[in-house]
Amino acid sequence: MFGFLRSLFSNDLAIDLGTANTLIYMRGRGIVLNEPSVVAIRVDPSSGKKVIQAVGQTAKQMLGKTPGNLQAIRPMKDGVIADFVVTEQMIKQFIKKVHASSLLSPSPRIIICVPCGSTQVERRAIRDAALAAGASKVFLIEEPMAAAIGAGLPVAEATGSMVVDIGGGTTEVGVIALGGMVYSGSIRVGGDKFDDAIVNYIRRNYGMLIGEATAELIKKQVAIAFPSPEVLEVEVKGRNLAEGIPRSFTVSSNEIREAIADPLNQIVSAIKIALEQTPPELGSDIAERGIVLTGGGALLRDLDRLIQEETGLPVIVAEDPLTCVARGCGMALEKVDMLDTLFATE
Amino acid sequence: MEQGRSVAEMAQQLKLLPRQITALEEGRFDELPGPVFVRGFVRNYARALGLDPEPLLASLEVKPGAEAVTLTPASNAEGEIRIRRSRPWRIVLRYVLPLFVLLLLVTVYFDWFRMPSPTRQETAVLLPPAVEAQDTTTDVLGSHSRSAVAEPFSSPAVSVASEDDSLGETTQSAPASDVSEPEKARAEAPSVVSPENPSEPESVLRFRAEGRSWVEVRDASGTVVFSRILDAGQEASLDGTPPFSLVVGNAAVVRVEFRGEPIEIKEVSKNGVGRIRLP
Repeated sequence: MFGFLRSLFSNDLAIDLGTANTLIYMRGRGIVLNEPSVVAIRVDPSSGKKVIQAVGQTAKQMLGKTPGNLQAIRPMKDGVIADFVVTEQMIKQFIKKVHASSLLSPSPRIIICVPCGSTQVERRAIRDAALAAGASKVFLIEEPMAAAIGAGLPVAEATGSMVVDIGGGTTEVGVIALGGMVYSGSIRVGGDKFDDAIVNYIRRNYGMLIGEATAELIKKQVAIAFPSPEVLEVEVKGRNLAEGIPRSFTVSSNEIREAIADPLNQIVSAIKIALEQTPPELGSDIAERGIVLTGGGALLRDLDRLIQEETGLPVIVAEDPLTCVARGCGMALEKVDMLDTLFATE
Repeated sequence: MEQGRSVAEMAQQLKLLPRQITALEEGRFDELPGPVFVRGFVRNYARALGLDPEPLLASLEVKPGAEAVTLTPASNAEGEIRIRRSRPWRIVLRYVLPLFVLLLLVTVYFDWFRMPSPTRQETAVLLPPAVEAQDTTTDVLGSHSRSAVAEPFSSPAVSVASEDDSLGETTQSAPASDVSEPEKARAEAPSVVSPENPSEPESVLRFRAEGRSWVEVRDASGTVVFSRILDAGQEASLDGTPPFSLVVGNAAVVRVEFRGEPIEIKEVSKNGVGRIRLP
């Protein structure tokens, strides 16, 4: 009923609703929130109702360590919503966090990014979740587009740019020219798949069971995508499968490179397919300028070198790749009233 | 060059063109694709040489996001490409609908203002069933012999006259197997009625049309008790309690008798409708 009034007192938001992290950009203020997409839910013993215990960083620390009445959930999977109700609550909580407490509950206009490979149903779910979380209006933007804008690529010019956004759940490859996507491809391989690959590798080769959080730690500390004379090592602890007792062991970067070779190959082949499908004029632009990597995956050591060697094209990592998509959404948000063509339809 | 490597070697390693490497080394950044790429190339270059890229990047004057971001392609024209398609609904809207409305207006005009008789005649259709029955009775009377007057009358005042009649009436309402019974009764009726009721008054009102016309009769309370169209040569009669008010269309060709006396319709309007009130 007071939607109009509420939207008047709400700042427009751009949300990068990622599998791993959710970032919120507020119009005029920049990135105001960067939290893991995790929700901890507690079952109230007296009433049996489920209540939200924590979201974001606090909830992430609970992952894999929860007692029976607590549940730490990652509601996004492969770049799309896996649990609608929890996602809706998570967005609501995050919006509440960034809006200073006021009399009216916030009802902002929201730009939210979607993987370009997502289906109509998945896009609809994301839109509905944002609307249910209190948005007055929702615009969808495809991730490669947002990433390219955020990386500072000349998206509106008559030159082709290729952007590869390696997120937590998906890898998006986009060729962009004249403010639109000429080619877009999406594979459901991302940071999570690297973690899974590391967990599997450690179990197979060490007979040790480690959790996802430990796998992520290994990935961040020693994972490398391209052979390098410098070898990094990290000591981790896991449960020995044979003895059932926690043990500590050391893994090296070369082992992890072997472990994540499979998902890396999938990403490389997705890029090669994109290059194959790109019109030759744009292809020559890309050869001149190179491929731009964004997303958390771009922080994987020497991933740019791997792609560079595999494709024979220059590859650069965008500045601050983790926030590229959110910043790109934010730039689109600043001009939301003038842009229609930029937004994705369902 | 630094660390004894040639431009070609560096170009090979960074997958850049040699001219891009020299441009990068000599600081001719305008020959390179743009600030984002310059910074990216510098970072890659520094790393390939084993240097820390950050101080180099800090010293670069090209900063990302320094120039205004454009998100839509350049535009220097405005207009819309109309797609011409035959749209049936548009034809309907433009031609057929006005024609239809015109036709409707013409029809209404003729219906309403030029021909009052058909609208009057409509009231006859709306008569309540009881009156309808009476109406059909008079019809029977008009077209058949006058001797059968009393027979189908259901009004008690008249049917009292003949017991045979009322008998016939009741048997008529009996099941269909007894059809022959009322048939007989009816066959008898005329012979019985006509001699037995010589004193029965003639119909109060009689009409004889010499041309096509219509008649409407209202009783004292204003309800329509009789309404008919009469063809040339047709007769009709009516019983009831006066006073009546009559409206006769095409009054010139209708002879009206009231209690056996001819009545002259004086009050005739210009379109031939006569009105008269009988006591």
